Amino acid sequence: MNGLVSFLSAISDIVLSAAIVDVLWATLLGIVVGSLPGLTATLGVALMTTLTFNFEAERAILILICMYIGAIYGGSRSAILLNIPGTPANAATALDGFPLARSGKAGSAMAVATIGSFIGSIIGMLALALIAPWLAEVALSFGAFEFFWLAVFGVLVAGQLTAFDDPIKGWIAGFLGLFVAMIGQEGIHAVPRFSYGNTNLSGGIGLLPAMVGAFGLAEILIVMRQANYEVVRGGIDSVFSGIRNALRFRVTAVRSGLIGTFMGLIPGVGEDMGAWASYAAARMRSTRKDEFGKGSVEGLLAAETGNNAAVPGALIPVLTLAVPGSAPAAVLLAAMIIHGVRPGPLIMIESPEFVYQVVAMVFMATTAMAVLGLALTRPLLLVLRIRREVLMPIIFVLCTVGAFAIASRVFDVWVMLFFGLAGFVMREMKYPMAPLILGIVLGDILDKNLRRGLVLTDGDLTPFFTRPISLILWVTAFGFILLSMPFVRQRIVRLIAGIRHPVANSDEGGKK
Amino acid sequence: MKPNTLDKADFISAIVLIGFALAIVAESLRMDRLEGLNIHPYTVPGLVPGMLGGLLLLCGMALLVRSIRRGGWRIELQISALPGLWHSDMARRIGLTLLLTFGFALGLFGWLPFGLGSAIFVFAFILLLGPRLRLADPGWLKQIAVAAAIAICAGYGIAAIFTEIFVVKLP
Repeated sequence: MNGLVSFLSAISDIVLSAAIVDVLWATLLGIVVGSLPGLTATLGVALMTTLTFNFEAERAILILICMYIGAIYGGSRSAILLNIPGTPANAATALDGFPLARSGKAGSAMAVATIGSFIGSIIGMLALALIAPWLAEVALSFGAFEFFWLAVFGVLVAGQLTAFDDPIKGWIAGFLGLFVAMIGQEGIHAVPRFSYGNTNLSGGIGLLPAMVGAFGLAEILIVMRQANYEVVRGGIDSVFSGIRNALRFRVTAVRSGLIGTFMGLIPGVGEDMGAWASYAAARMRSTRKDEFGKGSVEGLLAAETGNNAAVPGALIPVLTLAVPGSAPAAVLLAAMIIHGVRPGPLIMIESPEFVYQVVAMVFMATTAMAVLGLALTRPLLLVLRIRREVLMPIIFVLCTVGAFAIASRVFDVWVMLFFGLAGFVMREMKYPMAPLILGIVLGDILDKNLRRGLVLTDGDLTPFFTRPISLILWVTAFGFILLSMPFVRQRIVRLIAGIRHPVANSDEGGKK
Repeated sequence: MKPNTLDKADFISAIVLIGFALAIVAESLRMDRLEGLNIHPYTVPGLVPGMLGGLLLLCGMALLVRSIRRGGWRIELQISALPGLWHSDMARRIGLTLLLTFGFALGLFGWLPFGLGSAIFVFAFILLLGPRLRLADPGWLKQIAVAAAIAICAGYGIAAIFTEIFVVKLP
């Protein structure tokens, strides 16, 4: 009941103040950023963090959440109209959105995407309100051992799920991220590591300049490498038929919302997997499987519901464990810390109202996204007509200033350039970026908690493996590693087949 | 990148990664153990970096073995292909983008007034990476004028937004 009161109070605070203007412009800017190929939600949130550095904490976080939700939704525009996902989270959207647009149903497709994104965000928001307080309470029993495994779990699982075909590259990216976090003064004895007397390196590698590089400059290089894009030609049909069509698949929407939220909850996995997992589940359960990939409304709805549901889902571990559920959530976590908010297990004791404020911010951003998305369907098309050679240099200027603005250090501009170039090369070689960023965030947690845990037990590793939550975390993490090995997967498939068809198998054995 | 090219790239990156991982392990072993401060031996600063170096070494070796199995070690440097690469539109676009972005961040940013530096960068980017400027075309002057107008608006507009609205200190 207290939660509901805090939520309603936060809503009235936003609606009855100038904050409502922030909600509108930040969500609109998020939609624009998301719709432009080359601008991801992560970059949008990172740049906005540098811009809102001098704002009050509540105002800055509200703007960032609006940007995040708007950008993940906005990416559906270019996926539908250009067949280029505006953000990686919208890749599944393009599969059915673009064929719908080509058949003259672009308006309808955009309406389906809007309804899906709205439903997804609302389901995720409800989960945020219900799960976050419970998870924070569970997390109170976490000690050094559990936090160590949580960091290991995050990097391994994010590495595995973001590079599903080649998990080794996902893990390498994660370990490299952890290594980057080791640069600079360590947190126990303040000894500079890998600094070589350089005062800039002693201060460590900033998360934001690294992210602006990996998601800004790297994206600019990728966009400029590709051939130019063209907006789909032809008329835009009415959005109302799309709304009606979307509402026909209510079960798919709810299922995708739940799957997306769950994917958001897993550290570092985020919106991309939310969309793909929801899309796969929708296809498996659909009675019209053959339409998927050729312009299925159900497929489009599932993908867009899944990715937007992952946004509030990704905020749950941010608030309760200080571990990000996705790359943009990692920036949001950094922004919260910059603004003096202390996310983590103590949040429900120290500032329980903040969790419900975040829920209210998600609700306001979601509502603004749906209203702006439906009302501005045609005007937003103009954004996609901006030529890339005009847009990209402006983005790069913003990246440079954004990297510089946080600490007024030219060194951060060099960090941005380094990560931009490294990110481009790594992406060309199929290394995912999300585990790298998660590694940078989790490096300090892993380092401090492993050493603290070893001091507590005087070098005895037993509690790391036997405490109940530690046990669950390491068994799951190593289970994921085992499942990535082809021969283990084959054995499991054979075992399951053997259990399902014991008679057939014993007959075969008899014949042999 | 085609799968075959990717295997070759994996072979090279695995070797680089193994070298890097060995360097991390060596540096971690060399790191100060603070014996003079009587710290607990399990809190030495090099513990976690050393473990990470070991994990990267394992992953690098796994990548190396896999790329060798897939024939990634057969690297052939085709000198004859280099002029083609030089003239390819994609290589030209990436090369120019790198040159301009690094030139702006390292050469103009902080050395010229922000608005002017940004305007020069945006102007050069639009002209060099936009539609080819042909003096034979009647519209070439208009093309330059439009690029200059966009560059001035972008350069000074961004400076105004950052300093006036978001109160960010520019170099």
